[in-house]
Amino acid sequence: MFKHYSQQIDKTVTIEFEGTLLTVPDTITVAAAVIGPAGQKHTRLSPVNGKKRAPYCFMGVCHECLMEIDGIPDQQACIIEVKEGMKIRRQASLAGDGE
Amino acid sequence: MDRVRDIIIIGAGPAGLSAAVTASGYGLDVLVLDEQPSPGGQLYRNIERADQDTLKILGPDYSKGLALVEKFRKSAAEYIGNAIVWRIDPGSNVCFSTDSQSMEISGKNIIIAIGAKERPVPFSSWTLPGVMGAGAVDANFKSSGTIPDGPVVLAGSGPLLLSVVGHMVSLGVEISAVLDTTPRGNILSALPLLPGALRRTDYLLKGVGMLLNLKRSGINYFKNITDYKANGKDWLESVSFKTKNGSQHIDAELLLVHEGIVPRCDFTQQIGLKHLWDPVQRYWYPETNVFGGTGMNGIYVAGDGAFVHGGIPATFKGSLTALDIAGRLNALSSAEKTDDVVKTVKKLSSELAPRPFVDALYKPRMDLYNINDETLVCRCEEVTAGSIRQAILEGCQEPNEIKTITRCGMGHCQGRMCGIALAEIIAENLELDPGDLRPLNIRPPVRNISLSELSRVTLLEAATP
Repeated sequence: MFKHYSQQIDKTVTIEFEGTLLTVPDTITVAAAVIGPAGQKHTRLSPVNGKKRAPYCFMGVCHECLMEIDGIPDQQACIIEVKEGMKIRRQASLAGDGE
Repeated sequence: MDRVRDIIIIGAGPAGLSAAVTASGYGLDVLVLDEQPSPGGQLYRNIERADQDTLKILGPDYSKGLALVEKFRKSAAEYIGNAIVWRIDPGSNVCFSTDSQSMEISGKNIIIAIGAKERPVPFSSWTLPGVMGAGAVDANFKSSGTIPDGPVVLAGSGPLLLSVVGHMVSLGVEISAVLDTTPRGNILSALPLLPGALRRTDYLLKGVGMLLNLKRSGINYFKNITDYKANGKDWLESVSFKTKNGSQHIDAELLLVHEGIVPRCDFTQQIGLKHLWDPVQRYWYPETNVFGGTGMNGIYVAGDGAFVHGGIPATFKGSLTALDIAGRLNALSSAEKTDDVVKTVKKLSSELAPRPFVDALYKPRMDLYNINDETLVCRCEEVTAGSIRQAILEGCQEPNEIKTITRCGMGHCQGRMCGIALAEIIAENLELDPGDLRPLNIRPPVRNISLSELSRVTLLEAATP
């Protein structure tokens, strides 16, 4: 959905999205990394009917970007920056229900 | 961390930063809490890391923030980024979380400066991945350096829509169409307000410039369109809409919508301030005086969170709040205060001169909430307009009643996305004014905090209720 604007990236970190390693700029937000360089179209499944969902507002309001980050569910991926070694997973349902 | 601050400011956008600079200039002990990793808010998001190219693309509206953030960094105000505030109480205590650890702190005064958001307006299939607020483009470019991988369709109305189109043209994003929903009649009701706006021809010329650039860019620009919808199975595939010549259909990777800007009332509602309904802009806003003071002692609201006037006015509103607090804490004499207040109000009123004209020109369209029964209003709990109307038929009359019955507004976002739409639907069905209704309750924690984190927080002694 999104791509890097500049080809020249100064510092990168390696993160893990659903088990796949990705090298991304160290200043990118988790949600931007997932729908950008990770090439994904959705970040979670609706806990009500399982439909695919993706971030809407990108400013902490809509709560559509909730993801599991380093084992903690319900994190707002659009306001959290990536960190070296961060493990990111989609949430399939309500927190704690697992996949 | 446990000392009682003179002021705790929530939000490091134009209003919060300006309040912090002014107040700390008078020697007050100021702490600023903000959810982003660096100061700037939405308008000046991530400005400290912006390179020359970014500053050029986003223009002076953005680069103006450099000086403000620099002044803030040089000030004595303390700043904590990545801080998620999740409760304020009228005893002026604030609970916030950083790095999954929460604490409660206390201030003599609290300034709520959390700004505004794009007005969420439900429409058919707006929950499909690929449908976003137009502001998401600026947020991503500023924070993450990413841009839409087109083709993109934009829909809606308002200056921000045109501004985002301008940014995307400079960024080389493929735009398939701009669908402008601004009603034709708006210009007629705005014209009588033009003379007042002529006090600030710079703003008017900026607006005209944005429109001219859009026309010059050769983008498909449809005016007076209605009924835009998203289509697709798992994600957005196309956008359909109506013009006076009939229905049209355009393939798109992204649909970016913008239907104006409304105050973020998360904390003002959580703490229980009185809210008023603006019938023209169609939103709730907390009742405040010229200093952002509220009915609660020590609780202030500054910037767009008090009423949407834009970024530069927000800086003056932030200063006014700081001046009032500094005066009350005897950090400046009443003569000094009067002098500074007069100067600031003069600057503010000059900034606000074009506002009535612009607000009338982009007045929300009448059919904004003409939502069909199948459309989801509450995105979190998947509640349709049809189920809301059914609850009304069965006798529900208040947003909070309908929340209990249908779960509309009960999900993670706590009604931030559906609250206004819910009130508009009730008002339309019962032939009321949305202002007659009580907004959805929002309760602490107003952000997602895990129970284990909550169990570890040490609360201060309970304030007198």
